[in-house]
Amino acid sequence: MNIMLNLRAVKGRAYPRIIGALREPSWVFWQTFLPILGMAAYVYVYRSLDAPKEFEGFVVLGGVMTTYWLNVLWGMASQLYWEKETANLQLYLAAPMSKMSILAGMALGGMFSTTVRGLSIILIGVFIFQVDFVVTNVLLLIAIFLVTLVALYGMGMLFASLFLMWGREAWHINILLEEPVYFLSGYSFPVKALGSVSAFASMIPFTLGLDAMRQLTFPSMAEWGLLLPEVELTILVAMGVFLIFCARAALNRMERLGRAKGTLTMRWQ
Amino acid sequence: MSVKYSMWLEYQIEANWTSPLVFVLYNTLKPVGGSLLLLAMYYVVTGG
Repeated sequence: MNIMLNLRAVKGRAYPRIIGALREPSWVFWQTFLPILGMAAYVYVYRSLDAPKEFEGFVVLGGVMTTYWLNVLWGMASQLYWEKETANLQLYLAAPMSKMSILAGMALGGMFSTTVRGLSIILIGVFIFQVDFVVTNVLLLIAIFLVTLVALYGMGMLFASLFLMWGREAWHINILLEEPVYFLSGYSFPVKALGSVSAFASMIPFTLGLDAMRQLTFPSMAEWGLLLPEVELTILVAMGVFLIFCARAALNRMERLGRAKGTLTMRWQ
Repeated sequence: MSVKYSMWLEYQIEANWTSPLVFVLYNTLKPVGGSLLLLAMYYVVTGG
């Protein structure tokens, strides 16, 4: 394997996403402002219920992680399907580097633009909603955040190949994976409240990552934690490795199908 | 006849050529998920 070639492919695919995210300031504004509106609605629901302030913090943290989930769905999972529709996919498959490099570049570029949005949401949470984050273990928090991103984007890489094979259904599946996943992952409430359903919900990396980060930033609400943060980190590491392995297998299968049938990479097929 | 075909075409575009059952399922689960989210928030604060 030519490492330099693959690194260049990662850089080449990440570059347009990073530059594109900064090129049009009005997009940055609207992409930040609109998710905040949705998040603010949940904050005001808690205020109307006289809930403890920490619950508002749960929503802010959920809002941050949701932006990554949306990026995984629309920027990763659907991407190969859209590349097929714009006839770029054939070029990707014909290019000599590993196709995982393309997906890794997409993930890194997407993470950058999403992090800009995520930071804005945290700043809004701190300065407008007066949320106090009390970080008890910075290193563990950073480790959980990074591992959650690896697992999430690993899932996005896997979905990218699957969505390509499912074709037109991809659009609907993305819509299906928004609100129902927000509910299952406990976007605006502690997932422990779902009881035994939370075990099923833990299959989404977003759920465990969010739960662990909430325990580490709102220690007074640790009673709402699903599992110990260290245990959740271990599960997330295993999940990340498994998802990336599956993504590679799915990508190879998609590539083989594309070559055998000759239709998978063609527009309108 | 034109109305019938234009309705059919618009439905197909909206549904992105998916099957009617899947289309109904996807469009039902989204608002149900949003409502359950609010119910869960109410439950955790009030204890039910």
